[in-house]
Amino acid sequence: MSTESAALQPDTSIRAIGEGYAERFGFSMPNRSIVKTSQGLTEETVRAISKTKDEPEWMLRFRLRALHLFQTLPMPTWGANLSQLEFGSMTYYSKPTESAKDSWDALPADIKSTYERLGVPEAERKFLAGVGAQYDSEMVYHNIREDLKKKGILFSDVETAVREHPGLVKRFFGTVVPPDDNKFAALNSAVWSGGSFVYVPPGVHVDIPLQAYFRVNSQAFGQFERTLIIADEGSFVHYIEGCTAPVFSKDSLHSAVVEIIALPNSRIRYSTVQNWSSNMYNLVTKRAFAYDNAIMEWVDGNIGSKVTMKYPAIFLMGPGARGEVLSIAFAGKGQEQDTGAKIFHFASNTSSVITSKSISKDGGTASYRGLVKVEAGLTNIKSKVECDALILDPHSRSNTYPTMDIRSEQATMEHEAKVSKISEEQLFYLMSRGLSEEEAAIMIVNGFIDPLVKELPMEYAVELNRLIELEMEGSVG
Amino acid sequence: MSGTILDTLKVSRREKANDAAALLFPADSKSSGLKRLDIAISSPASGALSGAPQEPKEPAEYEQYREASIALGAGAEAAVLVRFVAAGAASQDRAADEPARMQDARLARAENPETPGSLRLTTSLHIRLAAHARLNLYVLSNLPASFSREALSHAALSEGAVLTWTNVVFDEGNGLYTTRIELEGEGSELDFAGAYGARCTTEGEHALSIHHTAPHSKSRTILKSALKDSAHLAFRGLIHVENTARGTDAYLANRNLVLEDGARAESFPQLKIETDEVACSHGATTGGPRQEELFYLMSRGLDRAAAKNMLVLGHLGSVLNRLPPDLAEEMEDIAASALGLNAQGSCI
Amino acid sequence: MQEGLIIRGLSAGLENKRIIDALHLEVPDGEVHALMGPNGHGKSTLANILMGHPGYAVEEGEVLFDGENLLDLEVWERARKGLFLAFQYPAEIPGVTVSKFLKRIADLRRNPPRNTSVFLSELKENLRMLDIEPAFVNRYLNDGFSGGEKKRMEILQLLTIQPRFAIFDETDSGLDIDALKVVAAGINHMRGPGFSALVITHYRRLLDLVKPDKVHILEKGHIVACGGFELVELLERDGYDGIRRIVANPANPEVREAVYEH
Repeated sequence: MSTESAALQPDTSIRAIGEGYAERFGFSMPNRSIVKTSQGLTEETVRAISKTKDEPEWMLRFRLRALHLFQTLPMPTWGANLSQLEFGSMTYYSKPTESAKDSWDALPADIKSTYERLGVPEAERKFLAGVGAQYDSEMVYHNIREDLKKKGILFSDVETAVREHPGLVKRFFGTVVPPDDNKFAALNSAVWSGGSFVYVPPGVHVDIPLQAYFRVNSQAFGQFERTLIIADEGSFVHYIEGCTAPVFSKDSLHSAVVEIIALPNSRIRYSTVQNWSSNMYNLVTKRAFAYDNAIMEWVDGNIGSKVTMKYPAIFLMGPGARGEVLSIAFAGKGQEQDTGAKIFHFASNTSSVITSKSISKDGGTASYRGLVKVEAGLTNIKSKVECDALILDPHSRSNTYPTMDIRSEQATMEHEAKVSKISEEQLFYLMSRGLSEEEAAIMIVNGFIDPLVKELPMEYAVELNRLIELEMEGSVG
Repeated sequence: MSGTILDTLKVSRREKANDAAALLFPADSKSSGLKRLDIAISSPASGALSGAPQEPKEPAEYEQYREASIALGAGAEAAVLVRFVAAGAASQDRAADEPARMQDARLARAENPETPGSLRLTTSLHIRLAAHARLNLYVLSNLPASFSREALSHAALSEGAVLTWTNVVFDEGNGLYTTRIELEGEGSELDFAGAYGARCTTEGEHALSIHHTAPHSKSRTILKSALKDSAHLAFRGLIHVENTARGTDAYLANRNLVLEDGARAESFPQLKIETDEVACSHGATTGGPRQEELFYLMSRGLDRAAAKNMLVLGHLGSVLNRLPPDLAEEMEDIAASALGLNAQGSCI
Repeated sequence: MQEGLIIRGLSAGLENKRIIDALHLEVPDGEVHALMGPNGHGKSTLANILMGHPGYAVEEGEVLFDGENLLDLEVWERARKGLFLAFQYPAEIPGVTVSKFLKRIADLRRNPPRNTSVFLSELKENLRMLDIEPAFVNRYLNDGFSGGEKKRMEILQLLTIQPRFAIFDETDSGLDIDALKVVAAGINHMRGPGFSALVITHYRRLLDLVKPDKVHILEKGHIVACGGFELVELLERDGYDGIRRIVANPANPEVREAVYEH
């Protein structure tokens, strides 16, 4: 693969990871918010957000109910260490501009420059059908190709959809991930802002991806976007999200809710390359309902953040539905990646595949946490789970926590997990062909995640391999 | 047959009977043949409790505790059979007794619908292997439905010790089976294979954790189950490799055969790995009998039920066949009867 | 009542796809017939349907075996009537030893061995004939067997069950010459009154060892040609195209005796 050979050029002057991140993603702009709530979370905060957005009454009530749930639901007693998370010292809403623009030139210079440095406008020109860009709490840019707009595809922030398509939003919003699902879903439901709304009409295929780019600029800030994607019967859409933030000394929180509805015979692919800075708590609830013969695919790459807890879920609701989750996690110094997948088989003739690959190094902890559940009375159920973990040094950790709950005689459930280090034989073989030990190790690690990386669009694949190369610097020898 | 056979203990109700049996093999001893350690469990329902006062039944109060330990000195080699035996039925004639005994158990349950879970039994088994000791251990149990059991097992392996453990459980009552095995010595090896079968509404929880704390230790662990009717298995497996255990080679497997819709297998195999120089993996499969296998057997003249039974016994066979041949055969009969394979016994 | 196997107007296949199409075929008692044909034209499907594989549905037609319609019977009832299928891909059954399995199926046949020692001496004789190591019977049924071992295992079951009608589904494929001879010896051993067989194969080499009484060619789900051993020679020389040409021109004197459109 070309990206591998690029990664193996000896003169790529591999930089230390912190330095590399700061230059490319870790920069910040002066705070420019025009509306900002005060630190901490109270009913006033929620009312202020709702008022700023000029929301209908039902949405305010939804938020207030969720706030109550957030205040009463317990913190998760399992998973990553969240003891340092301080809800009281965070800012929950910051609005950087008056409204979302459909042209980069219409954006304030510092915001425009941020996305240019991140390469988003260039990517849009090259290989995307539409782009949404969120800056702190609001979508500042939203654009979709004219021809797709004409086919009836809706692509906007959720606030716009609440105003312009209240029927669709009310029918699906909060149905896939209800506010009482977990503490962080409740938090998001109370203070949500921004995120994408996508609707693809029956039979329409969006051949090139839509993308959303999430950028946090403020310090000790909480970003709570909410995404709702509906693929109508027989349609197809590929949605990609990328995330970065400046490196600050104070921790921030990203707690999104993503709701997906794949109606009969549709197919949705949702790809994430999460590269949050090392001061970010990334606690996200993602779930999809797949109806008759629908296909739902999550491609979930987790490179950044301090702590991530994320388990994309698929509920196979109709016969013939199929779910697939591909998960990559990279846990470096000070990082805890607690990721995985959940699949619920609620209908006969459904199948699911979970493939997880993780790499731990420099004392990082990567955990796979997953669930596959098959209800009684269903026939012809197939599920396969495969977890591979690489540990690159003696101080790093890898955990695997799968759960399988099968109540049907006509189900076949297979799970395999493997933890190992880079094999001496592979290193020796490559070094015998003239590669340095570090080059060989990078090649092996890139090869290890290649089956997943090649599921990403090319630009992201290159980016991911480059990130791995950066992360791997100095890890061997 | 040499070895220790515990006499049936005199147990009175409301009294927690503590008793410990120990098998000790001195350093460098090479014990020939199979040592038997029968652990007798009193069963008031069968009236076989020798010397027990005939008082009115209050099964909910009945509680027993049994403890056994096996220790091998450095370099010792031994083979041991541990059997949990109900109501003084000697292991030798159990097979012949089986139908009557099974009926007893069912009767006990029929007479005392509250009984399951009310005869509480705790068993505890400790195993210690000194350096380079080798133990081939068989642990068998098929207690009647009137018992609800908590079984604790613990084994510790020193440097170069090798433990081969075959664990067969067809208890008809509910059970919580907790097994913890520590590979504390460099180069120690564990080969554990468990078979579990349950039917009706029996609930079994098997927690099986393997801890590697020393370098270059190796473990192979498997639990195979067959579940009928509304039986429910929860398997919690763990391979834990500590930072001090570089060079660990560990595999944990759980294979469940769900024979009927409504039977339930929950599987939680876990890996906790804290160092890099390891080859650790686990696998879990759950499913019903495969159509192609059923077809193959039926094409040879077996009817559907017989073909299914053969697949069940085949599934458990790779564990049962680790037993000495006569025991393997006996346990197969017990499996067939415990799972109601021969006569379609109804659940009470 | 006519003995042997008679297939009349059989149409069958998968739920939405007809694979066997109005097929007629008769194998009288005591005869061994060969069934040849290109890949994917229904040979294995026919074998599986005769045995009663649940994955296939029969639309119409009948299969008479010693005068009784097989299609009304369960799989095991067909087996107990004396029908045997040597599978192309036998299932692996871990945990069940070969010896235990053979004892069980011997007890299910029409004239089971009187006692265990009779069974054991039969088994010993069969193992010797098939050149199988005695230790083989302690292994798990087909579990981890090589292709050749699986095929020998099928023939060992044939000799153990002593069926009245056997179908060999490409039993010769992938076998070396020694294993092929063993398979042929097994089939020839069964040959005689009270036994008939259908040998599905692509190659002449098994048929050289097991001379068929008749040869049928199956294409697109039905029998397009039927003849004697010369059909095998013709096939080897000219391929299925050669058969098609002759079927298209039945007046061709060279083979008109041997080949006719069914």
